[in-house]
Order: sequence, then structure tokens, then C-alpha cells
Amino acid sequence: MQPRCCRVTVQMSSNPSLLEVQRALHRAIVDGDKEVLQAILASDSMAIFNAIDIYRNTIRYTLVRAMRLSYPVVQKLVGEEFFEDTIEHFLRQHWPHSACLDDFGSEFAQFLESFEPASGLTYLADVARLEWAVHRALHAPQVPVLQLQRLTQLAADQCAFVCFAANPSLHLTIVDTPADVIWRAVLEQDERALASIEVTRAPRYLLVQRSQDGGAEVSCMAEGEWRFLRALSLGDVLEQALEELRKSAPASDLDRVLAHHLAAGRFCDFSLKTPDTDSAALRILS
Amino acid sequence: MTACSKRIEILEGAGIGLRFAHHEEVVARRPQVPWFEVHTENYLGGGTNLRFLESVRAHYPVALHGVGISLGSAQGLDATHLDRICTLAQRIEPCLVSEHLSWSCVEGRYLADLLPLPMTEEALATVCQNVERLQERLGRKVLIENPSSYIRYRHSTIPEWEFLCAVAQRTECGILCDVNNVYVSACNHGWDASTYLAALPAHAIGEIHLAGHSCRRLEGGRVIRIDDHGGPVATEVWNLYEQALARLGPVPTLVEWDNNIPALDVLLAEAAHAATLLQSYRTNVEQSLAA
Repeated sequence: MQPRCCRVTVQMSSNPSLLEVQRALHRAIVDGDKEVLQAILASDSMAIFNAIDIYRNTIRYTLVRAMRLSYPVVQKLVGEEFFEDTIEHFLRQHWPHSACLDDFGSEFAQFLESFEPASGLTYLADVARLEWAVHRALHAPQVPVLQLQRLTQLAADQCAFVCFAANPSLHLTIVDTPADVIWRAVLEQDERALASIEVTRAPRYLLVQRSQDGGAEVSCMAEGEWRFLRALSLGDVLEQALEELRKSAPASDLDRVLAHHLAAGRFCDFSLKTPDTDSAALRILS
Repeated sequence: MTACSKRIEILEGAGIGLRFAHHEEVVARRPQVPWFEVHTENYLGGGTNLRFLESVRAHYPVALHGVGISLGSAQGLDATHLDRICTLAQRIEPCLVSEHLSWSCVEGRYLADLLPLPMTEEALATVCQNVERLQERLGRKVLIENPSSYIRYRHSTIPEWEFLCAVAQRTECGILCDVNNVYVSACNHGWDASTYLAALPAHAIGEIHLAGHSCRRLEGGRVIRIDDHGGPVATEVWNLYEQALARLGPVPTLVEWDNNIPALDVLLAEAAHAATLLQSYRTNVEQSLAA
């Protein structure tokens, strides 16, 4: 756990500026430093401390509720009380930057990796990593998927230089434990499946995308196929991305894999990266 | 500025705040309610929630009620957040857009509540500047809601109701009069709620809010009222609402319920009660005119 910042006593003038007031309330609410408020609030000190706690509690309640919505499976795995306590620690290091609380909590998996009280749950950070990908997929902008007939209009020698734009709801993530199996068993309340999971450390290559019905598609893929999709989603030209796939899949499978992902709406647009601006692409062409 | 006056004029009766818990039921049942209001920040992403909102919008007027632009921020509005609100407004075409007389952002951090402002000339100038920027960016008039509060600042010099009226006058924004907030703040700070209502310019009021609140006894015995939107509208607030109708006219009214959310029918019954009071006010006025 990182140490909390040292507190600095700040003297408030009797007529503080708006910014000074807002910084003082921020310190009182986030850091619990309420002493400075006595100079600016019109009430007896006991009432001030209690009243500020109303705001502080409302804010914390709101943030815990937001994290519950983003990490329902983590909460089920550790229980409500432990989850709330964990969020309390998380908030000492991370605070939302925007009123759109769907954006809050991206650092939770990383935080859990070094959160000592949860160190016995070796899979917990991975489950959080997967849940964040699911959360982002579910809240991604809705865009029309790429219409395949647009690709049929390309000349044969242009196909190598196709560069896809990923569907905003597509997320590719790696976990080191069977987090996806645990995630599914918890959501399906399948106690038997959960009890039979052997938590061994081995990389699992996961794809997450919002499905047509608004739910989340979560699948575990072969490493080569995952790296191929990741290369495409990062903007590599098709021929370059196919190199990743060729490392593990037989040549006869390449078309099938690409067709499957195109049909599954992994992409929403494409462009052509011309060879005259890309020497790597030129080599592939030759 | 092109105000949304057409929509404000046709909007009438008592609507309800739409929350996630009622999404599916509202779309399936299409209850008899004249309009819905949603919290803007709950729909800034894509996905299922936005799809539900669009389904509701296809059949009802929808108002966008913001809780996070932080109109009182000394450091100005968050441009990214503003852009996202505009994008949603373009997509939903809301009948009303409203926000709060409060602040919640400082030093790039968001404090997830509606924090009270010191009632000073500096804060007034800041709020007016931010309201003007919001209205300019949206290309429409917005309504600003009076907050509920539990603290006051020693250096405040302007009564809250005068502050709110000055914002409306200087920026040409409208006012969303939250009757529950008037009652809560009046009780907490020893104000006279009737004085508050009497100070508001009727022509500027575009909407009234009603909600439940709770009471808590602090150490030392002081009772504080908390605007938690966690129960039915209190009897005292219904009484104040009738005063508000007499003072402000038959303003479109909305019932909010955000915590311990009840069955949809309970919320609809609260809205139906507000509609009855609105209608009886209208009938009284019509009878007075006829006589």
C-alpha cells in the first residue's frame, strides 16, 4: 500500500476565493482533513464535522455503487463487506476524474495485484481485468459493423494493404489464470463448476465484445488467432497481421478465421495503407 | 440562442425520473405518464442503457437532468464532458435540459455529489460564465435547479434565492424549482420556505421537482434533513408544492426517487398525486376567471 500524502496545515483567510473553498472541501472529503473548514463554514464545529460526513458518505456510497456495477463478479467472490473495504483502500489512490462514472475504476485490476488482504486470491486481479473489459464493451458506442460487400469491391492486389478499424466494443486481454471460467461460473451461479476449477498459472487469450442482444461475448482463443486480431485492431495491415496467424494456424485456415471475425462484426470500417508510404508493406507485396 | 421553448410549452403534467430498475418495464408497459426525465451522466456511453433510452424517447418526451457538469467550478467546465452531453442531447432531442446550482469538480477530480457554493459575487460570476458556456455549446436554454444543502459559508453575502434569480436574469436560463430542496435547505438553515418561493420569478420557472428526504439527528441533538430521494414525498413538501403552484402556476412537475427504488406503480402513484394537484390548481384558476 502506498503511504498517504503528508498533510499540510493551510490557513484560510476570512474571505477565501471560490477556488480556495473548493480545494478545502476537496481535502475534507477526500483526505478527511476537516480542521480547515472551521474557518470558512458558518456553524459550530461539531455540526460542521457531521454535515461534511454526509457529503463524504454520499460520495463514497456513489463510488462504491459505481464499482459494484463494473465489478459484480469480484464482489460476489469476496463478499459485500470485503468489497466495500477494498474500494475504501482503492479510493485512497484513485479518484474519478469525470462525472461519467462508467469511466471510473480502470486501475482496479492493477490495484488488486498489490492489495495484500486479497493476495490469497491469485485469480482476483485477472477477474477484475476481465470485468473491466466486459464493462467497457457493454458501454462502448454503438456503431454499424463493416459491410462485407465493401471488401468485395477491392482489387486483388489491394487486399494485403487493408487496414481495419476495430469495433469500439472489441477488447482483447490476456489473463494468467482461468479468470473467464471463474467469471462464467459465478454469473451462472454454478457452484459445482466453480468448485472444480483448478487455478493454475497459464496465459489465456481472451476476446470480449458486446453481442447483438446487448450482452457480452467472452471467448478464450488460440494465441496466434488472438495476436492476429490484436494486430488488426491496432491498425496493422492485413498481410502483416496474417503473419501472426501463420505462426500457429495452417495456411488453409487463414481465410476461415478472417471470414469468421469479419462476420462477427469485429470491425466497423477499413482503409488502405498505400505501399509507397510503408516500406514494410512493400516488402510483403514483393 | 435557440431555446427549447416549443417543447417547454407543450410539456405539461407530472412525469417521473426514469431509473435503470424500471427500463424494461417502461418499454414493455408504456405506462400513462406524460414525460420522463433521466440523469444525463447515466447515458453518456453506448450499449443497452442508451438503447432503452432511445426506445423510451420514441414514445415519450424525455428531459436530460445533469448531475456532473459542475456549474460552480472555479476552474471552469470540463470540455470533454460538455462535448459528451452535447452528443447525447443531439441524439435524444430532449424536451428540457437542466443542471444544478452546485459544484463537484476541482483539480481534475470529481466529487460525486452536488456540493454547495458560497453565495458570493465571485461565485455568481463564475456560475453565470459556466451557464453561458453550457447554453452556448448546447445551443439552447437550460434550467438551473436550486440545491439542497447541509452547510453554509461564513463569507456568503447573497441569499440563495437572490443568487438563483440573478443567474437566471444574467444568463437568461430558466429555473428548475426543486420544492423538496427548498424545504430541506429551509429546515437545515432556518430559512423561510415561503420567502424562497416568493422571490422566484414565475416566468423563469420551467419545471418543478418533488422527491423524498430523510431526517437524521446529529451529535448534540440537531436534526438535519437529508435530500436522499429514498422515499415518498413528505406531507410538508406536498403542502409547499401547493404553495408553489399558487405562486408559480401549473409548472410541469417531476417526481424523483433514486434510492430504495420502489415498484414503478408506486412512483406512478406519486406522479398521479402531483397531477391531481396540478389539475385542481387549473380548475380553480378557470373557475376564478369564469366568475
